[in-house]
Order: sequence, then structure tokens, then C-alpha cells
Amino acid sequence: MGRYILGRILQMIPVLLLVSLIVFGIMRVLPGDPALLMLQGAEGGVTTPERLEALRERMGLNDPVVVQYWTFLTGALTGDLGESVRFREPVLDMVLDRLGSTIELALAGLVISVLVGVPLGMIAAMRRGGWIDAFTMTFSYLGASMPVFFLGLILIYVFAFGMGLFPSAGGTGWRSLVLPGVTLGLINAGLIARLMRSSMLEVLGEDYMRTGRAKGVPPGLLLRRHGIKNALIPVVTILGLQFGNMLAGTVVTETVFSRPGIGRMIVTAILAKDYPLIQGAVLFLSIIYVTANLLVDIAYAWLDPRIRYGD
Amino acid sequence: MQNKILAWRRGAALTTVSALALGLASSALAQELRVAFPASSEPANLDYHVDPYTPTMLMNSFMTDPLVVRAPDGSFVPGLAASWEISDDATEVTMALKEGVTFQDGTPFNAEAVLANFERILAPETGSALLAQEVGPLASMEAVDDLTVKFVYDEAWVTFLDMASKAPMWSPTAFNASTPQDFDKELIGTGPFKLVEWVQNDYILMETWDGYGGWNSVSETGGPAQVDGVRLQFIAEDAVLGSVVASGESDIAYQLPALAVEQYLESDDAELLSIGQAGVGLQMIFNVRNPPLSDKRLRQAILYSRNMDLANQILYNGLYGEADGPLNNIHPCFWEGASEMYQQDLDKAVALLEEAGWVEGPGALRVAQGVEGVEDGTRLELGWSVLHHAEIGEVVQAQLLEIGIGISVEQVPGPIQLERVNARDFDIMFERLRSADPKILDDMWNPAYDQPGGWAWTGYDNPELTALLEVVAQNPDWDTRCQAAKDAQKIIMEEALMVPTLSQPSYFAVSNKVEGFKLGAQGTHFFLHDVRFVE
Amino acid sequence: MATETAELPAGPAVARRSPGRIALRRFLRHRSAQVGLVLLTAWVVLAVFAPWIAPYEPNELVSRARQAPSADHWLGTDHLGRDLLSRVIHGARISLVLGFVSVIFGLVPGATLGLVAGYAGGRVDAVISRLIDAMLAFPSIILALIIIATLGPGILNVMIAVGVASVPEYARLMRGQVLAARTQPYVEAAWLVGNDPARIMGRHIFPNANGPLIVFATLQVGNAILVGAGLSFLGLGAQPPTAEWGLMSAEGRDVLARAWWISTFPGLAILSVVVAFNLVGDGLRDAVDPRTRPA
Repeated sequence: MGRYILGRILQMIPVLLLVSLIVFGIMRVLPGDPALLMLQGAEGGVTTPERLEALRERMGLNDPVVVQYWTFLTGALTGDLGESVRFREPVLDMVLDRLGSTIELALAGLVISVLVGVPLGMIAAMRRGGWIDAFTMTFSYLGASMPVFFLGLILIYVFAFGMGLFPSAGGTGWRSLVLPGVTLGLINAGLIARLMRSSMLEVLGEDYMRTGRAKGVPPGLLLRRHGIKNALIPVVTILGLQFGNMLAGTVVTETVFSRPGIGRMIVTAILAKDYPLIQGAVLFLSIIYVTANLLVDIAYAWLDPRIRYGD
Repeated sequence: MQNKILAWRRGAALTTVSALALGLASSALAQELRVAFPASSEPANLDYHVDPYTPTMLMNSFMTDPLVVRAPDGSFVPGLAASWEISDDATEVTMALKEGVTFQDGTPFNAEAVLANFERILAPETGSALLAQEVGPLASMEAVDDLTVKFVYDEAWVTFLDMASKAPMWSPTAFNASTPQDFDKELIGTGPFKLVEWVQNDYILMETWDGYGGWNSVSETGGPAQVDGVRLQFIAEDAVLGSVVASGESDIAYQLPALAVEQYLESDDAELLSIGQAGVGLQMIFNVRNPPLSDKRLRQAILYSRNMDLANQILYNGLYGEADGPLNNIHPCFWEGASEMYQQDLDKAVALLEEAGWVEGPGALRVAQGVEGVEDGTRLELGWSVLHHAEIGEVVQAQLLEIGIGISVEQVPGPIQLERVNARDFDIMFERLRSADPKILDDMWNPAYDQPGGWAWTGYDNPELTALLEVVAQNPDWDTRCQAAKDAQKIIMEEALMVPTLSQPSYFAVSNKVEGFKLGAQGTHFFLHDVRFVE
Repeated sequence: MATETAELPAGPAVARRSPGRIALRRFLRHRSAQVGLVLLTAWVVLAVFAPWIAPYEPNELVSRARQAPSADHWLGTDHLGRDLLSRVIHGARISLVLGFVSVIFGLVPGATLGLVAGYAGGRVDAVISRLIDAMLAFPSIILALIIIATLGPGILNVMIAVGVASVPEYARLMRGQVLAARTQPYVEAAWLVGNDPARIMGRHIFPNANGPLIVFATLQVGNAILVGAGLSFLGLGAQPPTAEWGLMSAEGRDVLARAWWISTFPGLAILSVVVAFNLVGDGLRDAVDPRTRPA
């Protein structure tokens, strides 16, 4: 087990190096001169070629590409992800400022998707083939198939403007987390429900469950003792992966609900061609994502002894 | 569904307020005024010295006063300067400062502080592009005595007061102890509100400063503000911004989307305010450097094929303003001849197109036949790039298609717009400047500013026009400037250098729970000095 | 949604006689798959015959803007006065093409990479696998956003972005399938008899490994349509006047309370088509994987 974990961590190094290279490479391909964009600010303005050249020099844009990559890489290793062109602030600070809000939202989405999805899937599996099954599955399909912004706006109109229960915008306090959390949760609940249902069906057909039933163990107890726990294993795996996806998948939700998160920051950075900000934020997010996946793999290996360690 | 939502909303408006107050208790002030802003108005840097963004200036005006204030009627009234004198040739400005003014940190406001602020604006480290340029070719500035400053220019600088009404005055003690990068999180001015925190992409929170002396002439209270603080909430979704005042989540909404206006027209809970934004309308500039747009006949044909009144009806129920020329119709120097010049006339447009060599093609679009610089058979399709209001482009697109002109509407973010402009390879590009001063015509049409970072994008060079623009920019006499501006507009229209569309009014929704809200002279400004909650 | 793969079985669908036909029969008996197929067929018919079915031109300003549904305009008119029904019908073409083409852009390079990596093994596999891992290190929406940032907005670029962002998923899936198939007796037999590698890959490995791939691709079509809609909402997707459902739905959102139909009908169109692909995809999964039998 220890060797497996160590191996996986070592495997991350070349992957992250490649990631940094991809991020850096894409940023060089993007059209536009970051120095000019920086000088022109939000509404443009007159610049002189001398000022432009001085800024290019200061930003290291005149260095050979290899040197620029090396600067980026060594900087990243020491926690310096560069400085945003538009905001003129360290990228790491900007990312950290918004990370909390995004994690909050992703967690809320995750919790809600589990609270909705797991029971739905279980009920559907136990009432397989009946109208309850059909109903819950229809619900789960609808949730997973709706454009996020559309669902979000409907929730805002009904629960914020209509009933005045929750705020429609902002990132302060738990109340502002409810609607975006529900949006993200409902979108993902369908996936969880379907997964839970098929996993549950599989477990119900296992020998130990049949034996238990044959021995006369009460169905409720049997389910609680063995069924649910085993059925949850694949769900737990997915959850870890979902969390990583949700961190990034909050882009649209954060925009609809005006939350100060990382996803929205990356989109605005892309629109504003804020290269260092995109570069740093994407690298940061990838590291988190890779780490989350690693943790899931380890947890899975630990939960399910059937997994072979290593290749 | 629609009616149900409206019914819910009415019943729920009151409960929302109390419920909200509970939820946000942690970081909310007792009686804070909540103002909703579109997220696009959130600055990158909250200091107008650094980020020359119009909303930045507005937000700064809550935290500090400028030397001169542009009053709601458009005139200049005293701010931190008690009076001023401008020499006849507009090269010398002498300002007498108000006595007894201090910054929020106790630093006295005096001639030295003013000089320090101007030095900071001009210092290269500050990186101020626009404001530094607006300060202009300053030959010298000096403190005549503790409360008198004198600015001397090499040449006439007729826009000094306009600049002085924008430049915020910050405490030199505070900015000297900080950096241009960080100071925008710790702004200290002389204004009625003190910056508490700015959570980017979320809100700006300010608390009332008890030491405020009402130095802004627009302030009737003459003392500290009467609310406990102000929260500027940035809203990323227009559909939400349109309804936050109706739902009771905000007290004031700034720059309501046009289509949200309807719900406030008959509302008992909120008032709708609107004001035209004098300046340039939602203008589309032709790039006349390259074929086929280098041919005036094609440009004129485009102008003859559009019908903006109809577009206004279709899109905004006729609520938008008219902008028939290079300045919009409410600008004091608008040339009225522009309104008659290009009434929709499809026959004329077709004739011009045929004459220019654009003949009917196999598809819906015309194709080139003997057009200079264009290969025969090329389809007539032009790019139409905007930052917002893509819907206007879509209507024009449909109108132009009727006579075989194709335009592809593209909505791009600001930096991409600037990049295209810098590359000079666009066809028809959105360009708007807002100001009641005609100097903006010089900025946009004088080929001297046809350079990276300049505003003259069209690529048109005509000495006659340039001479007129120089009068607009430099003559100290307002009437002479205005007349020159009108003559310049006539040439621009005759040459068909731009497509006038419509003018965007600025809409505000103000809840009836507050009073004392004052609109500025331009749609981009308002005053919160006297705002209070109705008992 | 990139995590669909985890639900898939690890081994190929092994059956002695014509596995394809058995799976097909199982699929056609699958009740929710039937619903999905019917929905999908309806949309395809509408898309193919759009110019004949739609009452108006999709981009023509035919009437007053924001008119409620009526006898003249069954779904009302949009913010410019275009007939919404006609736009929704024509939009089926665009959104279906968006879905399918995105999948092809992901499936073809992804499956090829996976096939080569899995079959060649050794250093080739190591290089490709690290590349796949690196691409998987980007959340797919971020990868798509970066690609759009490079290429610029527009519907073709959306297809490329969404497609490329899913390449690593296909590659990983295919590689796993190939690794499993390679150890099967019939492959070893073909190898021993001296068949050429390309032939082995094409004749023996690919057909036996593509079941899960087809399932994933089907689900991915719906997903691509959803991602495309999200990108349109952010202003990075289709550009006006394209009748892409996501863009149409986003265009009406400012007036959702007063002209609900502008956003709602295109939204429902997306919903129904994505549901259809999910139903069909799940039906395929159940048919391919004998462990979970259809409900």
C-alpha cells in the first residue's frame, strides 16, 4: 500500500511538468500582446512605443521562450505564479482569495447531489420496474440534462425574486450559497442517482445478499448491514472525481449567481486575455484536480481490496 | 408562469428585506444602502489614478471629492476647490482650495496635497494612461500659498476643469505608505464614505465617515452621510440586475438593462430614473484603409439601408435615444443636419452598390464585379464587432441583408476589440466615448491619434477635417468650438465614416424606501451624499 | 460528466456468437432506450426536413418582437421578432451537428491514441499515457475554455474545443479495453498465426473493445450539446444570428419574467434531446454490459 501511494505520487511529477508545459505553450499561442493590453487598461489610452518596450522588458516578454518557461516553472515551484496583467496583483493571492468561495460551492453542490441522488437511486433500485422507479429516473434524467444557467435562472426567479427566500447574488453567508448549491447539486444528482441505482441492483443480486435473504435476515437489516455500504463504493469513487470536476464546473453557476469564484475568474481572465492569470490559475486548479484524483484512487484502493496496486 | 412570479414578488418583497438582513448579519452594517452594479462595471483597480475606467471614477467619488464637481445641471461647481480662475488663453489655471478640509486619516488637505496627487498621476510608476493624458502637457505647477495652486500649460488646455472633476484627491500620507498596486484596497480620501473592504467579484463595502464636512457643493446636508454605509454589489447576470430592486434585494440599481425597464414603469415600490448619456452614441466606425470599405459609395449604401427608429421599436420599445451622427442627438454640439442625411432609402442604396460594382450574386449576398482591390465574385460580407448591444447589429444585419449586404455580428471582449483595432484589420467596429465636451470628436477623428493606444481608428485623413478638430480641441471659446464640431460632423457624415445607430440611456431603479438620490449630468454619475432611508 | 467512464465495465463484451446482435436485441427491448430513440428520431426528422417543416425563415424578422405564443407563432417570437418555432426547428440541425461533430473530434483521435498505446505497449504506451494523464489533469471545461481562448468564439471552435477536451477520456477508455482484449485467446492466436499488427488491431481488437466506447460517445453527444449551451451563455459559443439552442435560450434570459417563452422553449429543446441521448446511452450500456440488465 505504501509503495503504491509513493508510486502514484512519483507518477504525478512528470504529469505536472507536462501540464505546466501545456499551459505555458497555449499561452504563447494566444494572440495579443500582454504588455499593450496592460497599458491600455479597461478603456484604452494613449501609449508610446517606449513605454510599451519598457514594460515588455520588465515583464520578461523579450526573453527567449525557454527562459520564460524556466522563469514560470521555477516561480511556480516557489509559489510565485506571476502577476495579473489587468489587476496587477499576484496571481496566487487572487486564486487563494477566490478558492474558498469555489470550494464552498463545490462542497454544497456535492452534498446536495448526494442527499438527493443516493436516496433516489436506492428507492428506484428497490422498487425496480415500478412507477416509482420510472418517476425517480425521469427526475434524475431531467436534472442532468438541463442547461445549468437555465436551471439557475429559474431558481432565482422562483426562490429569490418570487418568494424572497434567498439572495440572488453575492458570495457572503450561507444563505447566498443555497441557490447555487442546489443548482449544481441537482445537475449532478441525476448522475449519482443512476449510478446508485445500478450499483444497488448489482449488490442486491450478489450471493451474500441472496444467502442472507434465504437465512431469513430481515430485509431492512440486511440492506443496512451489507447492501448500502457495498453499493456506495462506486458512488464514493465518483464523488471524489465529481468534486474535482465541480471545482471547475462552477464557471457558469458562479456567473449566474455573481459569486466571486475561481471558475468565473478564469473566464473573465480569458475574455480579458490576462495571460499570467489564466496560466497561474489553470496550473493551480490542475494541481488540485490531480491531487483530488490521487486521493480518490488511494481511498478506492483502501476501500476495495480487489484493486491491484500498480500497473 | 409569468403572472405567478409577479404575484409572488409583490407579496414577498417585504419579507425579503428582513430575511436578507438576518442572513448577511455578519458583515453588514446596520443601515447600509445597497446599490447593485453590473459586474462589467467592476474595475480592475479601484483607484482612478491607475485605472481610467468611468465606473472607477464614480466609485471613487463616494470615498473622496474632486477639486471641481460637475453638478447635475452640467456646470462646474466647487468641490475641494473653493474657486478657480482660468486665463483667457486657457494656459493658466489658479485654484483656491477650501479651508479646514482633512482626509479620512487626519492628513490636512492643502496645496501640497494637491501637488502630490498630480505628481502621482503623472509618475510613470503609477501607470496611468488616460488620466495622465488628460492632465495634459503641464509646463509647471506650484503651490502659491498653503491654499492656492497654479497650473501652467505650454498650450491652451481647454479641458482642465473636466479633468479636475474626474481626478480623485487621495491622502498623500496614505498613498506614500503604499504602492499603486495595493493602495486601491486602502483608499483614503475626503469623501463621505470610508472604504471598509473590496471583495473582488462580489462587493465593495464602505462605512460612513463622521468627519465629513460636506465639501462637495452638490451635498445639501453639508455634513456626514445619513446612512451607516454603502454596499456596492456586483451582479454578473443582467437578468438578475434588472430585478433586484423590484424584489427588494437592492435599494438602487445602476445601469439597468433596457429590457428590464418595463417592470418599473408602473411600479409603486420603486422609481425609474433615466438620463441620456451625452457623447457618442453606440457608434460603429468604418475602417476605410482597405477595400472594399475604402469606397465611399459602399459606406453610403450601408447607411441608406438601415432604419434605426424601427430597430429602436423592435428592440427597446422605442426607449433608446437617437444618435444620428458622430455625436448623439442630446449632445450640446450635435449637428442636426445628420438626422436628415441618411433616411432609409433602399433604391438609393441599391444604385450606389451597383455603381460601386456590387452586383446581385447567386446567393442572398451581392458579389464583386470590377470592384477595385477585390477579386471578382467575392461575396459582400463585412464584420461588425461590438462589445455589447449585439442585438442592434442583428437588426441591422437583417435590414442590410434585404439588399444583399452581409454583415457578421460578433460580440468581443474589450481587450480583443483593442487588439483588432491595433492590427487595423477590422471592418466595422464599435467605438464610443462619453462626454458632454466636443473634444471627443478630436480624439476619435484626428489622424494624430491614429497610433497604438489612440482613439482614431477609422484611418481617414483629410486636412480640412483635421483643422476643424484642432479648433474643437484648442479654442478657448465654447461657441467657436461647438461650431467647429458641427462642421466636422458634417464632413464625417458626408464621407460616411461611421454608422450611427442608437444612444443608450442610463436607467436607474431607485426604491421608494430611499430618498435624496441625485443623478449626475451624465448617465455615468450619481451622488449618494444626501441619501437617507425614509422613516 | 467526464466521469461516466467509471461506471463502465472493465472487460470487453465477450460473447461467443455475434455479440453485436445480442446487444442490439437487448438494446431494442430496453424500455427507456425506446423512449430515447423515439425522441431522437423525432428531432432528427425535424432537423433534416427543417426548411419544409418550419413555417418561417429562421433569421427573418417576421413580426413584432417578444410576442407571446399564438396561432401565427406557435412558440411566440424572440427578442428580434423572429419566429421561435422556426428557430427551434432549425436549431435542431445546429445542435445535433454540434453534438455529433464534437464527439467525432474527440472520438477519432482519442480512440486512435488509445488503440496505439494499448497495443504497442512499452515506450509508446508510456509516452501516450503520460500525455493522456497530463490532459486529464485539466478539468475538461477548463481545457475547452483554454482552447476557445486560443481559437476565438464561434460554433466550429466550440466543437473543436469540446471534442479535444474529451480526447483523453476516449484514449484512456480505449487503452483499457485494448489491454484487456490483448490477453484474449483469439488475439493471441491471431498473433501466433502471424497476422500483421494493423490487421489484428482492426479486425480483432477494435471490434471487441468498442462497446464501452460507443456508450461513452453516445452520452457524450448530449454532454457536448450542454457544454455548447453553457459556452454560448458565457458569450464564448455560437455567435448571432446562429439558431443554436443554447444561444437562443441565453438571449431571452433578460426578459424571462415577461417573455418566458424565448428562453424556455430552446431550453426545453436542449433538455429533451440531451435526455434522449442519455436514455439511449444508458440503454446501450445495459445492453453491452450483461451485469446490469435492463429494467
